[in-house]
Amino acid sequence: MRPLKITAWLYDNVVTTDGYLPLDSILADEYIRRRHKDIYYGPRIPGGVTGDLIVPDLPFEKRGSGDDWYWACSFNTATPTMEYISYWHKRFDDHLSKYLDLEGKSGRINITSGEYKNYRMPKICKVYPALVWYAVGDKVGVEDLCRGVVAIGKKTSQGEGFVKKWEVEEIGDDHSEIGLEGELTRALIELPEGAKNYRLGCYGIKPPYWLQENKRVAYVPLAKEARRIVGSM
Amino acid sequence: MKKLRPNLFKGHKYFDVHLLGVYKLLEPLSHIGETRSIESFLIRSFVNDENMQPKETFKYQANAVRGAFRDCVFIYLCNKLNICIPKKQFHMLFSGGSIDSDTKVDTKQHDMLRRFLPALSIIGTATGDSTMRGKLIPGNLYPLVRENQNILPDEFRSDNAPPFRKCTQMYRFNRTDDEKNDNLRKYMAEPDPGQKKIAANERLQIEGEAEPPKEERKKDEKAQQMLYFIEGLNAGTILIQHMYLRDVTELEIGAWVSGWTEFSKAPFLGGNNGKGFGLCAVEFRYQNAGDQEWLGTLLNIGPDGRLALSTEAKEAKDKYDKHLLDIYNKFLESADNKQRIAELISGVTADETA
Repeated sequence: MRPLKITAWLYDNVVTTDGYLPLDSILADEYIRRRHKDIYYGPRIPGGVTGDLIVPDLPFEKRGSGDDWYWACSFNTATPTMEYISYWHKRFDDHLSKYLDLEGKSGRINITSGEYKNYRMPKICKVYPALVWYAVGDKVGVEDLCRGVVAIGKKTSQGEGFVKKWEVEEIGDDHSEIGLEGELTRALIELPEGAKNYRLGCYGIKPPYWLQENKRVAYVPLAKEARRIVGSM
Repeated sequence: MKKLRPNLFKGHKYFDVHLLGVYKLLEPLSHIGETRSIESFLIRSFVNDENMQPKETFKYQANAVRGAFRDCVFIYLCNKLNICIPKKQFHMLFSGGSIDSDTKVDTKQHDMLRRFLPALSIIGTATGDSTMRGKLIPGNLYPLVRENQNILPDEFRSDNAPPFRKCTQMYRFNRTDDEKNDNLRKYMAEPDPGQKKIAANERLQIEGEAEPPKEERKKDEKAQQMLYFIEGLNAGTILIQHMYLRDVTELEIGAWVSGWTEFSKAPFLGGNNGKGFGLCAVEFRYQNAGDQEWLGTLLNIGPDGRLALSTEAKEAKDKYDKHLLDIYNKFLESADNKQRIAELISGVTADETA
């Protein structure tokens, strides 16, 4: 296990609100896709886990003790160069109505409420030249898992967050918890000595980060603001 | 001949396919982001240039391709099976479905649904209390313009690529008031004088006591003539798209091919197709995801609209067609098939298709 710097070069933007994009979570998803396809492509209940929780064996150093263990892997440390709002739309295509069997009922489709409601939903797009993470782990193992990740963040099925290239390099110092400028780089229960730029909050310490059982009162890095914010596009 | 390399998982063959779509616009492309008065503009976006600075450019959004493709695969399915679909199931196929906490869909039903409808498996949907993850990951379409050079595959890069703004133009449209056309006015029915109602203020005007109020005059004379502009990406522009099919079976590849087969019947991208926008030719190259070497062209829709399938694409589509025929023969041959198809699509009749 060696200190690593992992870079994902992007095509354009990632859809994310806080920009944390924890790499251990991204690689856990890829691990499950490879080894547990039946679970990965099984029913996904919003906010729940289907079956037993899979704890992936990631190529990162495991730290902490008991239930408070976590992977030695930072959140994304890069700053977005720009932020803008894009929209996705949903509407009823009336030209397809010939394939609709109304079963003798009213032909009226309600597009103002219910399942056929038309939508114009915003996406917060952050433009990064690259996403950068620091970790302590096995370079070959991390490279192998990264190769299978083609897109990052929300709305990847809509073309967002596509990765152009991955780079994994060994570095001298471990920045998985404290960054190059002393800033906190991941959620931690105990604050490392000398850490800067953090807040206290309730946050996950290991994947899946959204799972209530993985959340703790923890020190969390401050989200990085984009250098330039433009409005809707 | 090199072919796609399967991965084995629990005795089943899965493929990870990376596709590169090369679209050539035969007509201008309209993809409106903002409208100001009588002008509609192409949607704007940002990409990183080689100095890692964001540059304003245009991209045709993957979600638009995905939506059109979703329609195509299910139109193909409905036509092949000769069926219309009840409202709820129609929404599940054509609009992506919705979460309904009253209906539980278990793992077995979910798995059956994937096998029964490979097209749904690649596109994804929501049914019952859960969502079905799609296996298709489409990228955005990037035109070969100067701003996008940093993100294009090497062979499509050029130092002489024009800037984005030189690849667009405003297209002017007129809407004429045919009531004012003497040649056409004779076909307009005259209002029946006996039925004509005279408003109070109009009566006053006849009697010479008042002018009709201005508001009423405007209401009576609805403006028909119109001049408007639509910004389009010029015909001849080439756009590039990365697309991934992950963990797909051969039947699912066949379903993907069936979507493009349907698309080839009217190969239009974007909006305003009725005004001469969006006609395109498209070619998809393919490789095993993660490899460097392209295996060839999987399918091609030429400028003449003709569809050409590679051997691998044709084999996959033939298997998919046979799968649909089997469904028809097994479940839909009888006249009373409405309930059957609703149950099948909802994943209720798991045992019969297993």
